[in-house]
Amino acid sequence: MAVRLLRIAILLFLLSTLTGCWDLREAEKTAIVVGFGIDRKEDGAIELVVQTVRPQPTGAVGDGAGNDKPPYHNWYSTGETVFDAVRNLALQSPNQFFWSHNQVILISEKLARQGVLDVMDFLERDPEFKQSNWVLIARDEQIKDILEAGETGQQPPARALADIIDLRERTSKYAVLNLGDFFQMLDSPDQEPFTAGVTFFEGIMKPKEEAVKTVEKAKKTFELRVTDTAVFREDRMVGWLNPTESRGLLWVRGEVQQGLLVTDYEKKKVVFEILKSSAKIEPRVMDGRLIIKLDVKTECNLAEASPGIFKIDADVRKQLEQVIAKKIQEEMMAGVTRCQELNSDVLGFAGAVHRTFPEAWNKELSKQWPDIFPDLEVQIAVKPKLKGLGLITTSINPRKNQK
Amino acid sequence: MSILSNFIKLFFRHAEKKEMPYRQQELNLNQVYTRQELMELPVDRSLARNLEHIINILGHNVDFVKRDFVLGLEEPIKAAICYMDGLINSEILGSDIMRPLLEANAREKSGQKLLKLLTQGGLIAKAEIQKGENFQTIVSHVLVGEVVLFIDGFARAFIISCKGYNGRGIPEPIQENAIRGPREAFVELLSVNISLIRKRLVTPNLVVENYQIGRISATNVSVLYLKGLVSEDLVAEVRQRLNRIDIDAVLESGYLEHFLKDSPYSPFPLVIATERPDKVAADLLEGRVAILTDNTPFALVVPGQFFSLIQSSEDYYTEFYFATFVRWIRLFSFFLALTLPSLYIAVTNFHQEMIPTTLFISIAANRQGVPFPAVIEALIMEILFEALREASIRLPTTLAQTISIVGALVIGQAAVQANIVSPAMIIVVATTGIATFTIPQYNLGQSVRLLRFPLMLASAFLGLFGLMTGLLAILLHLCSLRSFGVPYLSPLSPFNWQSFKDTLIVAPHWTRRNRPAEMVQRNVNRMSKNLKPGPNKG
Repeated sequence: MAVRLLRIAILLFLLSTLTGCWDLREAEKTAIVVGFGIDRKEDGAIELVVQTVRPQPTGAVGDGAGNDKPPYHNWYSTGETVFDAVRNLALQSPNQFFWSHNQVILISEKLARQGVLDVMDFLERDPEFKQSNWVLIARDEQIKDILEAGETGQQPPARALADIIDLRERTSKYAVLNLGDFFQMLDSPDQEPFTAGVTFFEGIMKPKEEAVKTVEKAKKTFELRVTDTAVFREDRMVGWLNPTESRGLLWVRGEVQQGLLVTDYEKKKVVFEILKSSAKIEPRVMDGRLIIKLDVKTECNLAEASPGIFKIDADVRKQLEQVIAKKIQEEMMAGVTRCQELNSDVLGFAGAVHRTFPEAWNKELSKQWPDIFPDLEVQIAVKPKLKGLGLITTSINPRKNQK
Repeated sequence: MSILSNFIKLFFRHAEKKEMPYRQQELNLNQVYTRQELMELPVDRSLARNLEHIINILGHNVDFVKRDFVLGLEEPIKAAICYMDGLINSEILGSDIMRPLLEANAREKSGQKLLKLLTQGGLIAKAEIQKGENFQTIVSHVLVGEVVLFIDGFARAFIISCKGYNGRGIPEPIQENAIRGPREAFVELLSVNISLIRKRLVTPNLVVENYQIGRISATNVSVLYLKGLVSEDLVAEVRQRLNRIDIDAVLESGYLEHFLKDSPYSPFPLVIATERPDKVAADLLEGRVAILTDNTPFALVVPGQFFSLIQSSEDYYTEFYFATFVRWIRLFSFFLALTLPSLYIAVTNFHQEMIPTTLFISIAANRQGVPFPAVIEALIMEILFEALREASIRLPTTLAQTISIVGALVIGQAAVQANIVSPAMIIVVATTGIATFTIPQYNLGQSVRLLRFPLMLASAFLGLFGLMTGLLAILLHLCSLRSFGVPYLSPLSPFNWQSFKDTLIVAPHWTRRNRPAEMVQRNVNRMSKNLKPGPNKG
């Protein structure tokens, strides 16, 4: 019995060694990709910029030697397709590229305007890409510059971008999609995809020593900024939404959970902080015409007010709520109008109509939608709620007795 | 002064031994006495013949002592006592046995009268006196430190208990330490060990059965259980398994453990081995059976399920919230000790997407320049750690300190600086080492230490898939195990709520009204109802 068991154990062990660790990949032999960009050359070839981290041993190696090299390394590769370009990376790199820790996929605006279907297929098929990757459009610039942008602290620019996007709700000024959602919207006839753009802006505070550095180095004071929203029609990018319009898109999608509303009240600035919001898209038929009714509910907080202008009571509160409603309405209207101009239904109206009137949609509306959408009448109702008043009812005002 | 007295003692002892006329110079190595033979050898009326017998049987031993004397000065009756030097307490022998016998000669001249007085229970002050009729009884008692008294013309021998082992005092538990709880541990003396349990369970229902196991060692083995609540089948099974054991010697309870296992090939301990009398008492109250072996400071308790092996007696002496927390820490450590190195190998070699990016980057940075694949690295370190551990157990305590310093420096510092292993691996091995120490049962810890090696190989070849396959195999094995008929994973599987209160949680004592149902079918209640403290409850 024991001998037999032993034999089986030995057999099992030998059997497992036959597989030979084919999938094994040691950590130090791995090039950890944290971000990459896709561009298309004039001749149609795909150009890749792949950013890998340069692991820097802690402790033993001090700042002296390590600091010369940036914490990342960019690899450039071309190929006829994305996968071809990816495999061509093996011509240059001693390490195997590992894509599961990738966080940012940059697509050049040029490529996006030509259509992203070609490059998306590989990203969907390959198991190493996580659906939580952020899809970003590199606005105007060369992807190469974005991935080489400095001043992002000790981390690679791609990781900095991912961290910036993690804070997107602080402003709610651009709308961004991750890879999974992007695929879904790209695939869906009910919704067009959109995503945020990346660009540079000139750093306000340049380090002193920049003056003596070369031109090439000085370029790095340009800092990354995630801004605006690229909208697509089918797989082609058709235009940009500016921050206000982007906010409008987010309102419609019910995705504004933080951010500020800067409004005018009695010719003074009053800033509200958005606490939460929800939206409902309600298609209706009115007088034989299809209209879209948008209901937005939101809760805000009075965050900043020009000094000494009012004392909050029930009346003022009501007025302030009206101000908020008006502001939100404007933002939404701007977004909706711009989308209609671009004839890109990133708002998801098609989906709402499909759900509400499935038969009409299947019969005719779906085919006519590109014609219907730009001229849709949209009614917006905003129900704001001002919360958290009471502790500070009047602003600081040293001149309050002079009235 | 003391040197002088020691010298005198030595001298006299030497002189006394020199006088012994009966030491056999040539010893027949083929002369063997069987039990049966000795049983059939009765005590003779003639003192000379009795002495001849016993000298034949034991006289060649250095520590065998015979002392002749007479009873009565007129018509004296010859008598002799025999004992094994070193096993008896010589003070008691002098004051309670020899002195009364010799002093009686001064009061009473008639030997016959003295003999009468002796048989009626006078003369000898020592309390435990038996009469032996055959040499089997006599020899077996002499060998455990009793004194035998032969009297000429009397066909019985008196066996007088006079045990005086040079045993040690009750020590503190070494392996199963507790901050709160009694500081008593078992010793090598069976009688002391039984008394340690007796004083905890003062009830006539505590049964101590005696067995002698070992053809040569004739080791005394006691089986303890609580009458009235233990399952009769369990006791019958224990008796049967013990009776089956026919072996030369039982030198430690570990000998018995091998014979008592339901699945002899299983790497898991199916018997609880503990050095704490309070744990044994608690286990007896749960309807288990304890087996105490002479010369062993460990008691075996059966049946031993998985969860009883991760219980520590301190769990019941502290607050139950904390006890539950510690129980979870221990369970977590159990899995950590079993799987951490293999998890590390599998994840860093095959499933890098599972690690947080920053951690992966730092692992990659730490492994720069390490010459071995993670598996080899892990195997080297784990084996080195086990070797270090073994060395520190075997070495004298004074040297163990040195070993730990050398180990810490060599393995910890130098190996990393020489780039032979990565710091992450040191952390993994150290964590695994700490985790194995949290398992209260030493033998369960041993099986965990052993099983992690096949798991490491499995995950080196097949990644997490291999690890899960290995863990499933272990789980299946655990599910199939039984200890004295009780499923090893009970009360988790099969599930029992009442006993579950002492597994993943440690419920307060007033909720644990029932004894574990796996063991106890009668007299299941430990306490009366509604004992939860509160206002208006008296």
